[in-house]
Amino acid sequence: MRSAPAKLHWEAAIRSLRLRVNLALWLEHAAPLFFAVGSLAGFSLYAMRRASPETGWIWWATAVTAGALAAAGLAIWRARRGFFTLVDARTWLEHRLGLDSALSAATAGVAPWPSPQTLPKTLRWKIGPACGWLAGALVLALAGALLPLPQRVQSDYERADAKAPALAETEAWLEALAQREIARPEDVENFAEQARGLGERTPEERYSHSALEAADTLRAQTAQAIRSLGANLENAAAALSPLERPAGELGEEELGAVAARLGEALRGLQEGPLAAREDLLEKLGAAANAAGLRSLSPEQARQLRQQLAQAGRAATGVVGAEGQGASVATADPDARLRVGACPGGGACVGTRPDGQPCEAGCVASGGVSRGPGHAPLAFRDEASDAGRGVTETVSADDLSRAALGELLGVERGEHELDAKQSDGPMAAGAITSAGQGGDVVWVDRLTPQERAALKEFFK
Amino acid sequence: MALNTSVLNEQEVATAKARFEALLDTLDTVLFGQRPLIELVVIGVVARGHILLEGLPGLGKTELVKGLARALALDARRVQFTPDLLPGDITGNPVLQEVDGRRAFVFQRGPIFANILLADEINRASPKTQSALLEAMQERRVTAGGDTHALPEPFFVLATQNPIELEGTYPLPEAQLDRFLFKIEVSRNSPEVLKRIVQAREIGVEPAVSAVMGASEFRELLGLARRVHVPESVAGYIARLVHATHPGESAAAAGVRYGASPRAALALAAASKARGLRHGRPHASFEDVQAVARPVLAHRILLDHGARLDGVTPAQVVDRLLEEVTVQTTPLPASLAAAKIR
Repeated sequence: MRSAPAKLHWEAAIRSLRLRVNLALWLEHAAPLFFAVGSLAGFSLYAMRRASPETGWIWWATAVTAGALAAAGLAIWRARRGFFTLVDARTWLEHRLGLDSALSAATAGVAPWPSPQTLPKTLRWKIGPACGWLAGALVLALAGALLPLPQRVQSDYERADAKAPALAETEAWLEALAQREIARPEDVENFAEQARGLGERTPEERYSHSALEAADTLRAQTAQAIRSLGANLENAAAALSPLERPAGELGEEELGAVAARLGEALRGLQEGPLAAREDLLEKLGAAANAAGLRSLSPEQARQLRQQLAQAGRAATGVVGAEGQGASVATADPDARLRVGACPGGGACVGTRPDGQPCEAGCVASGGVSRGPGHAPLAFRDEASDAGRGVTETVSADDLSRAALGELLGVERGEHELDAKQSDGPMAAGAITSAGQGGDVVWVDRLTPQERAALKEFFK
Repeated sequence: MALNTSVLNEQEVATAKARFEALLDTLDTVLFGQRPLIELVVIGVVARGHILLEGLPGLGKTELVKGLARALALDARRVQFTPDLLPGDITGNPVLQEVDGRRAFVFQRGPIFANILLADEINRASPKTQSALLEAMQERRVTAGGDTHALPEPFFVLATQNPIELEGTYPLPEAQLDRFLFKIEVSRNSPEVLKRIVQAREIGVEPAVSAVMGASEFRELLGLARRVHVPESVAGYIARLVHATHPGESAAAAGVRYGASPRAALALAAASKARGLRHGRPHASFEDVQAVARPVLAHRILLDHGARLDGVTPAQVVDRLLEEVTVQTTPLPASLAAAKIR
């Protein structure tokens, strides 16, 4: 018998061959299953992206991995009867190499193991079909991941998830107010909590009538509170103006008036829905009596006035079009005047410059600014969809309230003309159009009874 | 006789191979240009099988058999089979003789009592005479007058038959065909071989053949052939091959009415062992099985009428079987193919 290395050499070759053959067989069975898993993964991925782009990824990945493992296991189970045994591999190898069954004889101990040799390639891969299945699975999975979603779907999602404009504006105001550190944080948080409470509703509830009313009211209250804060700060600043004169020029009576006016502004700043920040209140509190006022030098009074005036402008600017708050406030320059001008948050049309409530000009709350936006207006047969999955049409059920010349919308379009329609001159008895299809039949042809009647007539 | 499964050593294998080579070289001087035929005949004889040679007259069938007998120094008899040949003319007859002053029937041995019986044109004898050979071929003994007489050891029947002029002949029944290990078709010679025959031979003069081994050495060779190992995978291949000859068991067997018998499997194994030994191996291989499959199986496969009308031959069925039945139990998966080995 030859040495052990020869035996090890041939046994390793046999095992390697068996592994390759069984791998090929497994791949044959697994490839269609992987294609099925890849297809399902691709379709489910696409469906998930359409439905909800943020959730379910872990479950999806887990399901796909489990599916792939199950497919691999099923392939093993189905292919198990066709797997090469060591005897099969040995037989194949010795036959292909022309060893005259020397390996089988050596295994039986009848003959020595053949000398180790560099083994030629005995097998050739034909994995085109299997690769086709796998490539198909990969393409479908990638398509599910990369295929762009239809624009309408994204728009629907975004629209459905958007907050009511009044609520978004309110939150922006409160955020700006918090950043400027003018108001007491607890009070700002109190308003912000109310806004969050409205914002946490489901998209279906968010645009209910009551929710929209609540958002509008909160917006009006917030604007009113901010404006009140700004006005009180500016009043306090104005009250301090006389103190900037030299000390001797200010009499006791005038000093008392300043203290009274300052005290009134201080009460407003302390008791309003949005109180001023603590350090500002402390400074004002210390100065809001005659002794305190006397202790202020003209320079200190000037600094305090400037500080209060600046804070007041900043607070007013949060909700106004001017100043740094313009970007977060409504783009309508008259919004500051109109908001909250009417009871219940209604808007005031044709407001007075002083911003006082205008009962005659109040209109009911509501309007297109409340919802997710305008429904695309088009004079077509199909109804418009504003993105809520509900078609909407423009109609006037109560014609008594429709006014002539009322403009609902404008759209550029063209008439649909029938090019086949004949527009030539018509004369009595003439056929201006040959008609279409069977038209000519009843135009040109007469029934026997009609023909007989005509003959009788012209006889 | 129990199977002797002891493993052949290298010396025994080398000895056997040398004797094979000597015998083949000697027969090469008898029959020119028919080395494959000679090898099959020698392998068949060493496998202790009976051989049926089929071919046109004058191709050297009889000459080959006679040369084989002389080379092996065995007792050989020749019987020309004719329609009026009786069984007793082959096996022997009881003859009334006077023994110790009394008349008694004494068995007179026929020509079958030889090591090699050359049955020339066996298909010309009547079925009754042909059947007389059945017992002799299978059990290597003859029964006559209630007495059984053992045939000499070894005993081979080397029969010839002519595929033409079939009028008045009696085709061998399947049972008798099955007893032949090989049925070998003797092909005609090429011009080069004919030229060599013309130059080296003369009509009426038999070629001089010297014995290459004695009867005992030949018997030893037969014993060695029986000890050749058949690996399990090769045995499985033989079994699957024979099983696939039956209708419905393989695509190649379409048109087959009856497949090969278990005796065919034994014959395949025995012939493979002899061929393995002839190539200096202590074991049989798949290549041995494939090399002897056609002469072993072709005459054991019976085709139906449809296949015969389509011109299908049993040899073609065997060739297709060899292509269809793989050496390994499990077929290769479709995603793999055998690579060409340079």
